[in-house]
Amino acid sequence: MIVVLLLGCAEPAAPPATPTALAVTPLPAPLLLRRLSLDLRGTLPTLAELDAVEADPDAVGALRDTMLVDARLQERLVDVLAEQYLTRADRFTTDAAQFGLDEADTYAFVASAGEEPLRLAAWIAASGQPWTEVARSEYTLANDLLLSIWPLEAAPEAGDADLSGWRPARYTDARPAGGVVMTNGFAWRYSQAVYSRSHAAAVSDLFLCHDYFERPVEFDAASLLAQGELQAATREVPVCVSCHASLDPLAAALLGFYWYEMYDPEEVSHYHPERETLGPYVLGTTPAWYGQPLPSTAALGDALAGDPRFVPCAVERFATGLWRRPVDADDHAVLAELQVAFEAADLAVPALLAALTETDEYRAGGLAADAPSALGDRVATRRLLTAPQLADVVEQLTGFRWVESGWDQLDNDVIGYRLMVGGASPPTSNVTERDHGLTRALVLKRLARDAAATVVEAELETDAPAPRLFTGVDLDTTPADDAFDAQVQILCRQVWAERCDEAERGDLAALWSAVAQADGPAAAWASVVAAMLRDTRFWSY
Amino acid sequence: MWSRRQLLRTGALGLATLPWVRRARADGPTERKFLFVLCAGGWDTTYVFSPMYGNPAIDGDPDSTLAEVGGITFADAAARPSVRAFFEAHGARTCVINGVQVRSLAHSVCLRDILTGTMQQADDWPSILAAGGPSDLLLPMVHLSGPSYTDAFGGQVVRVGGAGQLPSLLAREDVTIEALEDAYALTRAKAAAARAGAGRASALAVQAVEAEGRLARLQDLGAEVVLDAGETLAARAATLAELFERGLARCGIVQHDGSRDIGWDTHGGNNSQSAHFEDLFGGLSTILADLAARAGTGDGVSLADQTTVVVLSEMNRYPQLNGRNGKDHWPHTSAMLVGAGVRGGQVIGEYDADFSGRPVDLVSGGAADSGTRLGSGHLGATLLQLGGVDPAMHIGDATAIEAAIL
Repeated sequence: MIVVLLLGCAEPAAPPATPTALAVTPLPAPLLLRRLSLDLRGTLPTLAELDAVEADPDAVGALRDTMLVDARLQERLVDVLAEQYLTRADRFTTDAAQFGLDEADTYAFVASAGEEPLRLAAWIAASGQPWTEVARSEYTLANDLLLSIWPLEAAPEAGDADLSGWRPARYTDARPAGGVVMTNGFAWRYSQAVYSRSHAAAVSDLFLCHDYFERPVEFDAASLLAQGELQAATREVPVCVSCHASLDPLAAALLGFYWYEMYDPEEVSHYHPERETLGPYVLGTTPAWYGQPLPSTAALGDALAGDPRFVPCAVERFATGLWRRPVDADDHAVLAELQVAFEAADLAVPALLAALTETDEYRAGGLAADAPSALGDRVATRRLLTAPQLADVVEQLTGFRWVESGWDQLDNDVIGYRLMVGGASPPTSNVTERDHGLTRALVLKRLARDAAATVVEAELETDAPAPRLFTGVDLDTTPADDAFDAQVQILCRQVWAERCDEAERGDLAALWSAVAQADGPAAAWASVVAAMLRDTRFWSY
Repeated sequence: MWSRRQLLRTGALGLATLPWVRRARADGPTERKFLFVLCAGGWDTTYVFSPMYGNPAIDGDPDSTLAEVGGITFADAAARPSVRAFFEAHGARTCVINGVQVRSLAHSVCLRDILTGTMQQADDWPSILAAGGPSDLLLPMVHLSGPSYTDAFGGQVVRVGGAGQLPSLLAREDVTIEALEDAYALTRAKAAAARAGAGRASALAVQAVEAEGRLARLQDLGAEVVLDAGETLAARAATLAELFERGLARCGIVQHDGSRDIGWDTHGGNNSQSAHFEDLFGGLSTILADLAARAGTGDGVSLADQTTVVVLSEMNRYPQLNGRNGKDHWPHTSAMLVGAGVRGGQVIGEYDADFSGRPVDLVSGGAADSGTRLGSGHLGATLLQLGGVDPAMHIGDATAIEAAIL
């Protein structure tokens, strides 16, 4: 394994001026630091870091660079990629019991399966391997659960476990190397239908930015009907051929994932190399990459990685992830510059991330006075914390993780609230919400209250040795004490990365007093913390 | 580059059309409610809406016969008494629309197409209708189940959760303290909105004010508001009807997965469609009876008089059986509108010998070679017009099927 870190070897090139550049105002340094920390580490910045950038705004760059070599970057990239790969499903065609797992492992089972391709991609990205490894890698990442149920063996020579215990592994079922495309998690999500066509379409969409489903198709019924079956239409009817001419040969290269029985655990967890030759029989074609014959599935990874669309698509995907909006034609010039930086770094993702975080688009905090109003709808000058970000930063602040019956409540929709807090949840919704609403407010309220109660109990009602939040007060402290005001100010900076003015500190004190009168100081502090977590400044950045 | 919807929104009406500003509504029946029933997976319209007897190229239900009730022609079968019963009771208020083309054969794409009229990210018809309704609705659009597409109007959608999670969020552990917290949250949201500059910060701040305000109102209602996800189609619809009756919601969507929830996507065993339609129409009859029993706004008006029930499926089934006695996907489907504002007792459009939707005269509803081939945009425009929302603000290339509207 090659680990290449090119940070600091070259300054990211300044991107060209764009309509965005001319029309937005940048975030102040503390808020930029907050955004960087949330995007690259999934955490809030420390008070020391905030102090540093308040003293010297240029210190943001150096702090950003440390984030790009922080182990938490890999964790964060799992979530960034999850919004696009959409492999975090709540159910697959098989269930935990079929693999001999307990019902209590149901969440861990579905979460692990959906997580696998994300973990592999994030590992490749964060470790600075060339991004082409996402198409070529002989490894995957696995946790203990997957190692126990899938044909996998640990590969310690490839590296250590990440912060969540996922470690390099390889499949033992003779599947060819092929990075994310050849993982069970990716196949489970996309391979269910119609001779691997969905699998192929996903590969094209996610790694070439060529979405077969984007094209509206005007069918000629007579032509379809004349075929007697749709399968024949894919080869004969021109409007069908226009997609299937390239889609089907790509699908033919993925027939090792073709399942005869989609509900059989052995069938769906193993690769079937003998089925790689089924293309002519089920799809009427042999494997090919956009017109170029593939000698075998083993050649797929190189074909994907060598496709001229692969690198520009990677730039688009990561730009989408950090800009928090789809890219469009107006972004062309900036994306081209980012691609130059990415290629100069031998496709090491940290370098691309560094360049992305230098863009005006990323650093935008507001609109210039003369900015066209429509720009406000386009540029994410403020964006919502995603479900994983909310879960992680609330845990960071308070120690609270919302888990019920073993299910992470912000990571599922079976009994949880992932969709309701704005997360993508296929098949209901494939989009991470960018707008706030009633349902999200209700979830945030419950999260805030439970988290606040947790941290108050841990740090004020019990003597915590290393308090996260309450560093200067105890249950005897009241708004009449200087320590109270100082603590509130600290909370403002920890939670919002902003200093609260006197009026706001006074309002929080008033809330504290009102609640304390009703139910005592512990409840009062819990209300203060909950109120801060419900504030726009917490759940957006 | 803006999406088509963004261009349409901002082009003519400037600031007032920006997503986070309450939109100007076209004159129209904005009091009308909409209950969407989505039969996900692809129904076989030859089993009810479009019998194609005598066409050897099309495999229909061999155990059915052509029937006509009150202007509605349909495939009638002893195994589906609920279908006939429905048309006998409600046919006069029902409009079947045949031959609506969707532009894909993939479920995910067809679902987006039939509910939004586009392949791009866009708001679905229920969300747009909700946004175009009264601005003081507590729960403008209630999502019980099924797909959900949002772009500008995500804030209109209230999600109950697949397992009915929303009520658990409404339960208050300490009313007094939570009231203090809620009041504080609303105050801070207003302060943030007042100081926010232009752009997303302002948008989110405004959304926060609205959300906190509605949160407080909803919690005050407490147990009066039942948000039960329900076990059956009729039970779920009853939840929506209750919200309509209380003036809390304008739109709602439920997904119907057929008899025993095994799904409409009958690639094998297509005769399951019979049980699915029986279950569907039985449920629809219960829904309409429930709506009729509830009060609408105004003297002597029932909720049934003010609610449009919209029954959809994202695709049809291939005209011929495959090797597994099933049917594959087909891009020409049907829809059914029942109730308020609907010119009932008719079938608009038809399928030709190739099971393709024939062009339709949008004014008369009759098939006409010089007419318009129906697409999802026409269906959407019809729904928006029924709801008093100007379709031109949201759909650039389709007009309403005037023949379907009273």
